[in-house]
Amino acid sequence: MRGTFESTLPWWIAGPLIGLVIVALLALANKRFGVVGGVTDLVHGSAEGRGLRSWRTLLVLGMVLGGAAYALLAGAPDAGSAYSWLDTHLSTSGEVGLLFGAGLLIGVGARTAGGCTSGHGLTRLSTRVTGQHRLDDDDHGQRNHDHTAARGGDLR
Amino acid sequence: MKLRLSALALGLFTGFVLAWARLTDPNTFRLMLSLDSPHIYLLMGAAVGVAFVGARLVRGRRAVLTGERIDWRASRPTCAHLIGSVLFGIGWGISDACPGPTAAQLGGGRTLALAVAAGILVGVRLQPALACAVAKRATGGEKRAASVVAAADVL
Repeated sequence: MRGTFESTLPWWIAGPLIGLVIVALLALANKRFGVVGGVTDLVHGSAEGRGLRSWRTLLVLGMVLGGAAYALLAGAPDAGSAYSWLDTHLSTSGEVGLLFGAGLLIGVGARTAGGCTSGHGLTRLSTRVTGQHRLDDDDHGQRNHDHTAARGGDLR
Repeated sequence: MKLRLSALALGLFTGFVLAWARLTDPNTFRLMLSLDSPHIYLLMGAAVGVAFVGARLVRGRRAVLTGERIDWRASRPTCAHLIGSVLFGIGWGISDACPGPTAAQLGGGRTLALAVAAGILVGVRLQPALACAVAKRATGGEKRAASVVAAADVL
């Protein structure tokens, strides 16, 4: 059993499973799969709610728990202080600083673009690239008040 | 409530799959970004393929939980998408991390994922103020600034 989980799940199983999660969210509630939305609701809140009252934050929380569940079944291959090729080049504090900085860029970048790999790379590629275009989309009402202010009269 | 429970369950499933496919190992992303392994490209391609077909099969039907009509509209890329993706890509290239796998890494006990996660939280928190300041300085005008501040919706 443990051996099953220790071997890497092949892309042709993992990929379609993730694809089905995207379809399931659409089929259940007409919602879009994405991680940065959950982070946004955690720190800002949106029309979907704030913190644990938002389904998007719970989606991300679920992913944390999913990682923990896998660790329990597979003997925690990710546990520990090892990270990446950076380990051999930097001190621990240097690596923490660099990774925090990289996280900042990821956070600012993903929030600016309106999504990360899951939201844009998967969900948006699957749905909103083709079809009728529009310039001003706010179907989820996810702008927060900062944006409302920044956009001035631009809002509908 | 049902939506939140469903989201929690779907997230749990996703995190488990990400970890099992070893996307929680930064080295997997390293090999992808250096074009040494097709694993993630094939995985994402398969995910998009299934979601592309599946999304069209459910489009127009009623959502199971809400009864809402399942639909979406396409939108054109904006300046915000371009700027955001460049910043994101630099962070991605340095850390070999991306928000979903980072979440699963936290559960899997990878301690340095805490540094990445903290950066992402602070980045998302500060982005509106940051983008507003940058846009105002760069353009001096509200109207163009609006398109730089952020994409209209966050996924």
